[in-house]
Amino acid sequence: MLESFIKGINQLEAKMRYFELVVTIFLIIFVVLLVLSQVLARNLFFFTFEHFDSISRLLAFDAAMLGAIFATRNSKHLNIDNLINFFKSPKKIYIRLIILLWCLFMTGALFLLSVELVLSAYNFNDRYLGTYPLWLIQLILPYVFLSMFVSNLALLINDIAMKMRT
Amino acid sequence: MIILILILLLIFGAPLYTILLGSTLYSYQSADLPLLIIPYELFGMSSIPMLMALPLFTYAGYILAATEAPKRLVYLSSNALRYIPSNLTLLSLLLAAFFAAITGSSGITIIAFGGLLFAMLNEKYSEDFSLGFITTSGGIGLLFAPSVPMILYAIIAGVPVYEFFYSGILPGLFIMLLFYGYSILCAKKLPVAEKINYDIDKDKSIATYLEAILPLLILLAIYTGSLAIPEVAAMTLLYVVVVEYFFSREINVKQMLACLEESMALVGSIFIILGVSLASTNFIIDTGVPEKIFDLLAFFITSKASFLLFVIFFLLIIGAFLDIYAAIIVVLPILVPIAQSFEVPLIHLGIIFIAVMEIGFITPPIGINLFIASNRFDKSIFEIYKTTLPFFLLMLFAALVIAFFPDLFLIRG
Repeated sequence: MLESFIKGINQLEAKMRYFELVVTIFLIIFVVLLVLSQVLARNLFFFTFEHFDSISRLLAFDAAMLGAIFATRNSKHLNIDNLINFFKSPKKIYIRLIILLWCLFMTGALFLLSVELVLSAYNFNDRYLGTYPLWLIQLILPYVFLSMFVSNLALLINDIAMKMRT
Repeated sequence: MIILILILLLIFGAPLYTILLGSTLYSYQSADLPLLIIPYELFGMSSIPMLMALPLFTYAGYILAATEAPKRLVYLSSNALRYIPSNLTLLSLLLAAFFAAITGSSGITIIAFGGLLFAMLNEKYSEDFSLGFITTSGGIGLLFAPSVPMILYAIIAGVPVYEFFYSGILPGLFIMLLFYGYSILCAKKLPVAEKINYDIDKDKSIATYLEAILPLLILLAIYTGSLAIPEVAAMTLLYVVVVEYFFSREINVKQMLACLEESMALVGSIFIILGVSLASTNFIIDTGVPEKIFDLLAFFITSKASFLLFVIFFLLIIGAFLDIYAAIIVVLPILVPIAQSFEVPLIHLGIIFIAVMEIGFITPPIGINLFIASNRFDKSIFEIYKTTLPFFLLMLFAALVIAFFPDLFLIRG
């Protein structure tokens, strides 16, 4: 039962990782293309595209937020990890489990709060750049925090399973 | 009780954003403020223009570091500078400055150039000097454009980024000059270095020259103001991808994806801390925390000079524990109002901040570059402490001079 759950969550994580990497590369390509066309238009044709700067900012922001998921998955978030090295192995595992549980709780909270933000933009019919539905653009936040939640869950479960095996 | 739990979690290695989030949630809940401000502030970052430069510059730097470009640049510039005394140290400083500026990470210099430069330096200098020099020189570039930490500081402190870049030039050169002068004193023999026999692969000669002019192009674009900084970042990324993928052909799509994942992980971890801290900063300012700290400090710190000394001492400790980005995001919102009340210009504070954080990377016992160098050169951490000590003192001297003689260094753009 536990094994199949672990397998399932790891598979889900692998699919999300692939999807997020592909999306990130496309976002970065779009940002570069938008900036390039803006620079060319301004310097060669003496005009600027009205919303290109705002859109490229938004896409770069989305790419960076997806990066927060990579940081979770690879345990690369900024922290003070030097002190934990002074602990011996068995204690270290318990500390890591507590930290992961804490991260799970925090990413869950961020997910719920960002869902609330999206719902609020939807209810008030807020618009991005006066045209596009803001809630659609804000969906990046719940997705990022959900994915971080899943990654933390996968890390936690894998660690527990490893501890149980040993 | 909550604060104690958060401190314990922080010490045990919980990500910084979770600690900030925990304290923000608790503060907002206690003050009965809407928690919706937290995701609102996070999303609000998408409208900050300068932030766009961070992922693009960082990704470009990671791609460059993943290729043989550092090695080619070392050989090429080493021959170009061969008539200058102690040219290898000057070369190391220039390359370290460029890579640290573009990636925002001083550790990457040790990883990218460390092995090669160590072997070259070791022929002309003692092993202790070579180790200490490589470990410490990585941080110097953070005072030069397009330094990512400088961009982040400018965003948070609300100072004009171009002016800040201009102001970083002389302090950065001053630190380089100190290092260079010390290297001349420490050289086993001073005659100019011989030409290194390095035949650039004919297929890669165009790539090599294109790589060599990249720093000049970036600086030109920034200092002439012909492109906005986010545009320079996007163009740099495009340039690096074209040169490394089509001309040097040393990186494939798979490796570029690996670089993307790694660089975005760094940028993502910065963004999430920044977003959460924007929410907590509002709370800190609304509840008058900086004023309370100022009142508390007023007992011990009575003048601008004592404040500057306090800042240097405080940041040295912070720099040993916290990454430069985290330090800027977490410490700056509290430090800025206090600095203003002591009439310290924010640009001057920023230069001191970055200069001292550079020292933080090599501050024992846990400065991050000390561990990277220990791992990279397979030396004990205590040996690295010993070798970096003279450079630590040089940088501290530089920080003190920059702090107390700002008129000598700060130029306006």
